[in-house]
Amino acid sequence: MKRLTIILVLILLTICSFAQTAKDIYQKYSDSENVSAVYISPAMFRMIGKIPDLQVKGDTVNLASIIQNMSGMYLIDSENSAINSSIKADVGKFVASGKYELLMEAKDSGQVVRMYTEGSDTHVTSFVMISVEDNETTFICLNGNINRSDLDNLLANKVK
Amino acid sequence: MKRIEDIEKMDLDALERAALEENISVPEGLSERIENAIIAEEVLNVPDRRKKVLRILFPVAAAAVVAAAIVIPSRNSVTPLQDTFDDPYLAYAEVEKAFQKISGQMSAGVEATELAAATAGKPINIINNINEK
Repeated sequence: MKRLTIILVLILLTICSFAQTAKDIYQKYSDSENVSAVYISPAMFRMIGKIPDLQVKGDTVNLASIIQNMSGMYLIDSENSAINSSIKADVGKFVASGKYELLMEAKDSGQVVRMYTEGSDTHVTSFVMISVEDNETTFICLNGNINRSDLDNLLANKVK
Repeated sequence: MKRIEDIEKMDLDALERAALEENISVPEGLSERIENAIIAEEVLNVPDRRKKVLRILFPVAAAAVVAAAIVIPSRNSVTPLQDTFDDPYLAYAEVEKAFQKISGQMSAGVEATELAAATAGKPINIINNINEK
């Protein structure tokens, strides 16, 4: 009995230790109630990159160069209070399992926003944002090979 | 021939001397039997140690195998994700919306930082004003 308990505990620990990915998080929550989910595949990004008149409405930032270097996007926007804390925990595990570094953290009136990037000094291979409000949790993960200065410009200038 | 009571009264040195003085023959093959007994004891103890190690490793190995059996097939059997949009224009609009959200949150963070910097600068301004007077 004691041995069986040890084995079960070890199984649970082993399963929990398997690294989470953005895809896992998307698959886990995308079909839940009050959750809007968007997945854009590498193939779709290649198609977007071929749009001839790809332009941004704003006058300060051009998304075209960034989008053409992107290979995937996962977005989960949940207004389901039953799973919001679970999403937050899973994103925490996902970020901790990779080589993400915290880009920004902002806390304001109960809202917490964290942004993480993974990559080198010049390029970002993955960008993660988790925003937690009272009733809403948003997770965005962008993958690709984005020039870091392009991304910095984009984030510094508000997209209109 | 000494009696047991006499032997019990003797100290270790006296016992050793007595043993050397008496001509007692060592039974034939005794040393060999002792050596064999020692070797047998060692051989019997090795599986015991192995058993102990196995007893510790077994739950760990079993847990790893079961966890792998659960996780790996479930990961491999997952069907590839379906694109949310078929139309690249719609997909592009959604990417743009995502960037608007990210940049909006970033701007809120920057505004908070600027506000904090302005608040932090107030005491310096007050000190500067006092110094000027």
